Amino acid sequence: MKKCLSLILFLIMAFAMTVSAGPNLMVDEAGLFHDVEKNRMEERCEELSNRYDMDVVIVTKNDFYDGDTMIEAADYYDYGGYQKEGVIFWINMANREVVIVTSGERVKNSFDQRAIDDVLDEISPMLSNGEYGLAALSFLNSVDLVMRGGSFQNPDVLNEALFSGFLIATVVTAAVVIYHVKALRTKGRQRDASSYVKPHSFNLLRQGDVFLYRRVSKTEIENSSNRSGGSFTGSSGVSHGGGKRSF
Amino acid sequence: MSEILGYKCPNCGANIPFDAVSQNLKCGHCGTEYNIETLEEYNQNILEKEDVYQWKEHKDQMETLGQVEYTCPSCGGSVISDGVTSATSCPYCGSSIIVKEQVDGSLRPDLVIPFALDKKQAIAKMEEELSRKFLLPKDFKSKRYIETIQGVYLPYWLFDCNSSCSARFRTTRTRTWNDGRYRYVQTDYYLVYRDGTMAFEKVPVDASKKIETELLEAVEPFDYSAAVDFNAAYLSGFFADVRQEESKDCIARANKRIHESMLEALTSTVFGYQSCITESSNIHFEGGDVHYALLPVYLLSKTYRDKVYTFAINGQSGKVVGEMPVDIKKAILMGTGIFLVTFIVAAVISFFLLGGRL
Repeated sequence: MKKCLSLILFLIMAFAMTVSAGPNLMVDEAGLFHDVEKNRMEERCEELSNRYDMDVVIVTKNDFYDGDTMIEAADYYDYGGYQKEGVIFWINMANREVVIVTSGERVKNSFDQRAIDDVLDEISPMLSNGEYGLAALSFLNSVDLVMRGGSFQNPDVLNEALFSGFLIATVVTAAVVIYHVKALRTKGRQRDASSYVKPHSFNLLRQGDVFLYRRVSKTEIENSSNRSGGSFTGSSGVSHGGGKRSF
Repeated sequence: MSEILGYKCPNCGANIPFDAVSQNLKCGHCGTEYNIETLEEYNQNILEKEDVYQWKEHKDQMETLGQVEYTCPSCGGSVISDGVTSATSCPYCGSSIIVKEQVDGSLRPDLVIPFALDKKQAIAKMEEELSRKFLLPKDFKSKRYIETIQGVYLPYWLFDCNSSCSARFRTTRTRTWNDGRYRYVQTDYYLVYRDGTMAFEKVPVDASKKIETELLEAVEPFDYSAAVDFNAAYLSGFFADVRQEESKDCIARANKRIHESMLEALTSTVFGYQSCITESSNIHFEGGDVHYALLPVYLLSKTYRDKVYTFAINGQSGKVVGEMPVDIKKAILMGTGIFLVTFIVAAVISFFLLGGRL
């Protein structure tokens, strides 16, 4: 029922938009941005949309959505009168979720799942810290980079790779050198006298296993999945790419 | 009227008062419940006896053949020879200054294991072993140095006994499952007891103070099937160390090794559990035999950076043991090379695995 109401709302909005100048690229219903930020983002959305012949949309909401927010964002885009090719950046403050949904083959091919995941990984911590403006601008810069044919590279990847390399190299070097140093020491006390046991002289005379008591403990199983993504189809039947994170 | 008996809780050690009328056997401290048969069996298997290790006294015999004793003024070590074989360097510290002295006789060993390897074979074994040590300083690999190796009969006490041992273990058996919401871990606690006997033949403990016990135990084992009654003729071409420790000084080490072996044999009969901890053990034997023997070892020593490094080769099996110094320059070169190569390879692989793109 709630989904139907949302659908009707989208249709009304779509109609209103077609009557007016065109769909808005920047909709801040949750009131997360200052006016200056909003203007700057709107200009940037328009600039990118014109440059790459697509729609770059930013939407913030504050209504709890009892379903998959990726579908919510995709439906908003599909019924919002936007171009076939485009990308929507969706923040739902009530659900505390951020979503990126891509539309159209050209955008889906450029802005692939890995790029979506990289962008979401970078901006999720910003949203957790309340830096909404910074998160949205980072998204727009990523769109520019990806559509220009470059690849979005999470700057942490290089640092993490170097750190992993350093860690692995340190462990391997230490292991090899320690192995060779230890090989220089072949003396040591014998632990026991097993080499001097008379053959077949061991006799087990008496044995017993006595059950004493039982303890049972239980711990709750945690479900810790705050990320998802992949290809999906919205209510309109249009295929999309996308991903989301909780923050 | 209730009859009160005393039990100790196997879990926490608190006293559990047993009320014969109410049949209540619940520990008031930790809450664990037991039945009376369990606690009866538990009490019957508490080991409170003292360990008993009883060895016969060894009777020495004096060998009256004329012999030559070489003493090193540098480390104080001494070896004896038959008077024909002469020492050119000290086998314990490598010093070339050695003092020769005629002695009338020495304590006669009961047994001797003759050298099975000659000096050439011992040198070949040593060269083969040292060639595999990448971080060993070059000086230690020189043929001239390795050729200073000397065959020495080292003094050992050998211990024979038939021992009996009792051990008590605390073991657990664990089962886990979940119902979707909770993960359950069920642990059953057991008392396991084992009693057994075992015979030991000629457990060696070195009677030399000049060479570390760590080195002389590492060179084991010796094959006693080749052991013969002592005859001074076996000393020909070799040296013999002079015994510096009596059997009473060495029995503690023999006892420890025998106890460990007995416990290991009993532990090997405990299976089917996830954990097994030895709670207590008790060993007992009487009338153990003690022999004095000379066992064949090649020794090679060198002073490097003010420290004496001694190698030992088992004169029967050719096993090489010792502590060798590290060539710091070689170690730094090796470490740097490995680090650089590994760092580059690991960083590149990590970059792509983490989703990086060029």
